[in-house]
Amino acid sequence: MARTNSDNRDDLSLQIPGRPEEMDYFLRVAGQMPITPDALAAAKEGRKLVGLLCGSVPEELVFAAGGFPLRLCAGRGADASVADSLLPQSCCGVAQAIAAHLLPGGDAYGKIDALVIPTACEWKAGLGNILDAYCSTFRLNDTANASTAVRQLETRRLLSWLEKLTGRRVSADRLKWAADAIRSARAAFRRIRESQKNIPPPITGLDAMLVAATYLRCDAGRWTEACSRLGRELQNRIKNGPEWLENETLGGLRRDMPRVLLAGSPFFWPNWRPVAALERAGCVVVAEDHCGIGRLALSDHELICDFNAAHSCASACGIARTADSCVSLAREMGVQGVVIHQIAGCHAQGFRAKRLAAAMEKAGIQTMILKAPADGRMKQSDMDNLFRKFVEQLSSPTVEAS
Amino acid sequence: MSNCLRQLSRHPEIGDTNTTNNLKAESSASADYPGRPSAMRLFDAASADRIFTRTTGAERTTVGIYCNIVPPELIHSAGFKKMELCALGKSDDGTDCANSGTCPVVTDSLACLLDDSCGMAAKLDLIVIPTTCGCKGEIAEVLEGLCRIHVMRVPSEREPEHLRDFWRGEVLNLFRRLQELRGGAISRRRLADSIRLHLDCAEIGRKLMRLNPARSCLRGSDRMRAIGTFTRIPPEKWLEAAGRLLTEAEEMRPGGEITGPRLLLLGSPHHNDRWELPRSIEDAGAIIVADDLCSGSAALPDPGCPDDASVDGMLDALADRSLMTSRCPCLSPNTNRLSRLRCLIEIYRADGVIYCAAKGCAAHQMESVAIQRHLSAAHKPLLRIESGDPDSPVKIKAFVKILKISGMGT
Repeated sequence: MARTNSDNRDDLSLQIPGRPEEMDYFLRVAGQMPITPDALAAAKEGRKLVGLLCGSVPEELVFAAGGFPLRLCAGRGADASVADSLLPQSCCGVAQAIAAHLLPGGDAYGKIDALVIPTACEWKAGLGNILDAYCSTFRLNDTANASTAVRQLETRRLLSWLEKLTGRRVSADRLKWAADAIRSARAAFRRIRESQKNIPPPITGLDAMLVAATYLRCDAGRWTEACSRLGRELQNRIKNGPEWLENETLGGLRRDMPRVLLAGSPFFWPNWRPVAALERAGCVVVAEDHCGIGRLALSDHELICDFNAAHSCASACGIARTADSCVSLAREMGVQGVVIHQIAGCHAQGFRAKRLAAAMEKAGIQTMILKAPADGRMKQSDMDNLFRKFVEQLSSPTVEAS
Repeated sequence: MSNCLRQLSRHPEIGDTNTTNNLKAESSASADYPGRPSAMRLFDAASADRIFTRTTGAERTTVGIYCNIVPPELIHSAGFKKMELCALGKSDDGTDCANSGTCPVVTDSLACLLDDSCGMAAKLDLIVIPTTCGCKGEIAEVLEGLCRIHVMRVPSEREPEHLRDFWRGEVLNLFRRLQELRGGAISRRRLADSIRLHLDCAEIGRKLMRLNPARSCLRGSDRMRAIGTFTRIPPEKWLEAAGRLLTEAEEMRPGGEITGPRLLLLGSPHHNDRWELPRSIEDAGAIIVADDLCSGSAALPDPGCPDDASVDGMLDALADRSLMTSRCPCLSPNTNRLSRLRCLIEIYRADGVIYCAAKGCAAHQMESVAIQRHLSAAHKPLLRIESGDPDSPVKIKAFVKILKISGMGT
């Protein structure tokens, strides 16, 4: 049965005990996605709304050209009947959700001026051919292992297209200003990521993911401010010593909770039931290594043209890099287990889930492959059972020793 | 006996006792209409051959290729034998490495290459894998270490000049790799001769395409079979056989004009069951006037036309040809695919289109949606089916019946 946005909000904006007060802003934005009041206000001011169909698109360029970048990747959850009737059944849930927003009848239909579509994912590239009929589109070629020179040329091509779209010439100063603004946003997010290294982290994985999910959905300046405030609140929790655990999280977070990393196919709002179920099973998600996080995790020295430097998208880089990135992030965050999400229709992930699991096991990190149907909807009881077993495994001292 | 070996035993050139019987069975299934050209025999044999070994012709280095975007002229100029690897066998083993919903063209061949008892991987001197789709990019990683792999990174767009340059670089890299494998340079003359030979093949292919299946003794499915086996037969041999077929088809005329809705066949390559679909369309009473499948008529490369006779000039021409004329929906935006579709409908006076997308092929699945929208605007009926769907023959019959009721093909 088709579900509305409000249904999803009910079961996903969980009443997490001890949720940080500064999460309010992000919860509000999440409730308004994909076309948030910030985006509508920007459109009213004459800024072009540029939809990004992947986290690898350099948002700095859109800002520099005076556009409003709006990431449209979404999880299946909204009423997708239009997309269902048009797209193949085996189509990945993310592409279906994007189509549901952008096709006639969707909440973003007619509101987006242009789309940037990276071609690494075949579902999205194919969707671009359908969406061409509704708005101007740009294909960002993200050929795996392409040289920096090729990627730079591709970046320039995107910039010229954006200049033409917005009618604004981008000077070096303007580009620097945009890159600085984005760097501030990343720095604010990094503070939250850093706080998650604490044992236990001062924030649940679901909340931290919500922060990342609202990036590029609202005004970047406001988001950075809210993120900084949240970062300060989390730092204060940690500074307060162990008593914050009981006083502020009301027992929702514990020191002995197994720490988990999410990898594989992305989890997108509002289809976060698996993440909620995982944390309900008694562990805490401390990091994500999938494309949902976009370029937020980029370090300051990365180039604008390093499209996929921040995460290891299976469509754009090899298994060796994916495994390295996952292992190093798992070690950095001190995780005991990795949940490898494998959504039906995401063929690249389908191919590498087992190899990624093998690489993680080799590094002494336990894994679980979570196979989800194309629409991302799994039976709640199945999920609960799977996660309970996995968390038991992670908590078991014999398994840890092995 | 493993599935791969079972198929191996059916190889027409291996000559065991089962082979001839199996070949007869395959041939009889297709030789079911009167006046079928006898020159189809070689193509029947090649199409029955799902798996290739170096048991015969072992003196030649064999290069496995995964996609038609690899210029065959290069492999031939190096003196190597090419071998199409898509869907080598038919097995579920490949799904061990992938999702069950992954493209069968890839998983089947992977199963065969990973099957130790078959020893296929060891028999190939090089496997060229163009990353036209995500699955092919992944199999390159799975096969790494098992055999010599050469990955060609395919850009996903053809218009931007820097991407064309990038692709030219990839073709040059392949050329160098082949020279390395050969242990010596490929001369300008060898390359030019190979291009000329492939030009001749393309010319014959065009002539076969021009035959009107309604007035010819060569049915559309057989034409597809003849052209589609180009990837399995050495070009010299193919040219000779196709020439004989053309002469025979031109000389023999059926008694009257065959009637039935004129259909265009599009979609994913059909490898394991590639002849079942066209046959079921013709059995339903329709005529396949043309197809645009890379396992069918698009298996024959368009001619490469070098601007100059230098090796660099020829390589650039081959690179441009393979990228610019590729029908693969992995290239996006694919507007020239739609204009080509318009041309095909007009030239072949097609009454309708059947689009068969492989289960798990995201690019074709999504393209079928774009094509459906395009055709509905042009008021041309389309039937979308999925490979492996057991209801396909029923759907095809119903579609053809509707077209007949609408007065098409009478």
